[in-house]
Amino acid sequence: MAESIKEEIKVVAVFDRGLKPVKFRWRGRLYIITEVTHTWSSRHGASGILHYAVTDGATLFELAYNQSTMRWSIEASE
Amino acid sequence: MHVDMNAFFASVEQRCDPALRGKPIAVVGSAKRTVVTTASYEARKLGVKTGMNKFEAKKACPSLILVIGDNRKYIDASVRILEILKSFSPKVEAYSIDEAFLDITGCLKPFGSPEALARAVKERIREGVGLTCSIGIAPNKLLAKLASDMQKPDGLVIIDEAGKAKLLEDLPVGELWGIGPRLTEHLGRLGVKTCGQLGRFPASVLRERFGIIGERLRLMGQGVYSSEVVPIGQEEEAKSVGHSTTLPADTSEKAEIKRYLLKLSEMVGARAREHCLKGGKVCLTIRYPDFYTFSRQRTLPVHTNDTRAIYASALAILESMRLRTAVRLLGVSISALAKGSGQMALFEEDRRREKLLEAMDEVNRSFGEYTVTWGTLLDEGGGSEDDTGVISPAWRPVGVKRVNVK
Repeated sequence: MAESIKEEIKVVAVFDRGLKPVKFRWRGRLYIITEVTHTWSSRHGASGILHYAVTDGATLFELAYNQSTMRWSIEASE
Repeated sequence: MHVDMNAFFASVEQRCDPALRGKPIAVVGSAKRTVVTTASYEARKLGVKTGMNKFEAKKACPSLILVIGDNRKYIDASVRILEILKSFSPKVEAYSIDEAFLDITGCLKPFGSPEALARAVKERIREGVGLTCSIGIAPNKLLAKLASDMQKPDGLVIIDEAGKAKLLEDLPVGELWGIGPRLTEHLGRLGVKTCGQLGRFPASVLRERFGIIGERLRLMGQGVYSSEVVPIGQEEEAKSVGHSTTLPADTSEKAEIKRYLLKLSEMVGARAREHCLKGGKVCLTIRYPDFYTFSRQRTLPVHTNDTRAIYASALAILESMRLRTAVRLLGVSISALAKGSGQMALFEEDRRREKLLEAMDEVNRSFGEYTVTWGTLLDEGGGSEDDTGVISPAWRPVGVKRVNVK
């Protein structure tokens, strides 16, 4: 079951037919994203949020990008 | 053409998490007393059904993986699928979050045949959203829906005029869209078991037994159905705005019930205000633990979308009745809707209340729901922040029926 986290993180991302996260640092460790399994969007008030289900090959994470604040967060991990 | 997404919520979750693919999973809500909203095909094979509670589902399939649903994912996928469908036909009806009808009359030329068009739709959905669907193509919505149900998952069935009589002859009436278990039972008592029999049954007897729908039932038995595809945005105006919630535990506690009523009234009021609707009637729905459900309504002196007026009316209904037992579910809705802002409030106090609500709505629109809310709702109860709610079958991608659920 997914564990809710909601912490801000640093992400390296590329623009390739949309915004795509490539790697991120969380709690001092660097995670290389091997697959973006699914993406979806939602709204929080006036802010558009892009959600990414990503895996480093071992663990599944949910990352979110707030288009208004331009900040990344890790929302959950398996 | 009818497009039915296969085990939609479960398929989205399996798409998100590769570890769930090929495994029996069931999507459930986050509330304590949740039920299975969708089971994967792997779980269905092992006896898991929609509507089972967690314990029943686990009993049927001990290896079942329960996944708490995330409605934002499903709404996003649904909207993306509808966008894809709109690129094939201008007439797309969003029938529910995971089903749509398309009128493909006049859209076949670039594809050559209905089958080629359907295959292109499937390919685009698979490519764009990563999901499979079953498609039914037929001369009308009734038969198209029947066709899409005939082959799952990832099916494609075409019923044409020439083949429909043979198909319907021995088809049980309960297989038809709109004929549920009770109607099937009633028809059975008349000796009508198959669509063939229904299509030949005297219309006068059906009319006498079932009233206005009698004639329509006979036509359905013949595969005749006149309802058109209603494009998105051209649906009938909503007749009511309502919300309901199953409580985490049955309760007779008045204070707790009142908190839920206030929260539901705020949800109803906020959605009505967003769409400039005001209600002339307030309806309170209560379900007891034995699932006995009833509603009582009250006519308001003036149309309103003011949370406090809705709450006061719902509360007055509650106070006027004696609850025979604890409450399992509460629902609040407004009906007799009127569009527009109506007459300007006469008294200063009323105008200030309107301005207060406008300001609250504005803050919540900018910073998210419940950024500013009623103090009473900040106490315990009245619905946890983490409750995700359930997407209603009446959900639509645009308009007042687009309910935001977490």
